[in-house]
Amino acid sequence: MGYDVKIQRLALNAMIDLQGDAEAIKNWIKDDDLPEFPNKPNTSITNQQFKIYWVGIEHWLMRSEIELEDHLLEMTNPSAAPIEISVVQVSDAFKFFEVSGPDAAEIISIASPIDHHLTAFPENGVSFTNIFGIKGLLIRVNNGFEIAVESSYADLMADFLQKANA
Amino acid sequence: MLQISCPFCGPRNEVEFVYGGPLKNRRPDDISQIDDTTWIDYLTVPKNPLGPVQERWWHVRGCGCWLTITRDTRSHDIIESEIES
Repeated sequence: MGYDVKIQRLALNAMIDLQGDAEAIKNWIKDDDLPEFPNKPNTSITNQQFKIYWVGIEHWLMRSEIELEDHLLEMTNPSAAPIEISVVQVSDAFKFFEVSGPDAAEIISIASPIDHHLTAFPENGVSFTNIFGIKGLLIRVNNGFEIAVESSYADLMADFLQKANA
Repeated sequence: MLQISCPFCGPRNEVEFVYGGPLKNRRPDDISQIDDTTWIDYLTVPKNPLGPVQERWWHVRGCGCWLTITRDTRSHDIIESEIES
């Protein structure tokens, strides 16, 4: 192994994709368990149960453990959402990887052109970017980074990550 | 390689974007009222000035916005970028 990192595929997560006017979404999803929405682009807000990622002008992702998916669906009620917003369950659409350890940033430097230094990509940074030529979600976590890609690219991403660490 | 400043994401590498062509003039409202030369000019004759040009770029591997940027063709400096409404 070339770098001091641990690369692992993570378990399925519950994910909801939210798009539309921020106020309309906040009015639709009211729940005491939810954290506030992030106030800076490409950042996340986390509480013990849920994470909210601000990834586009009118685009957010909500994430939780898969065990809380039903709770997430109750809160967001995708099938009854008003016409001005989009609420879509995308749990199966993403596969997550964790790159952790002292050299995690070295792997991300190989994978993506994004400036992942703390000044540009803060502790709660999260952003879509180019990861080995694929659109992927890059998330900073405690001891490294998480990467989420569309499920069909998961095996390819696993292969790329393994080769980057070869 | 260009570094394009996305108003939402900040400076990002060109590989995150797809070029969407030059910002064209508005399509004529009533094409039955214009002559063929004007229509052909609108459709097929690209402008290629030396200096600032306006181009459309799609931040497809980022926030997904369409941007209009002003780029100087002499230096590749990006003078301005804004999100299309």
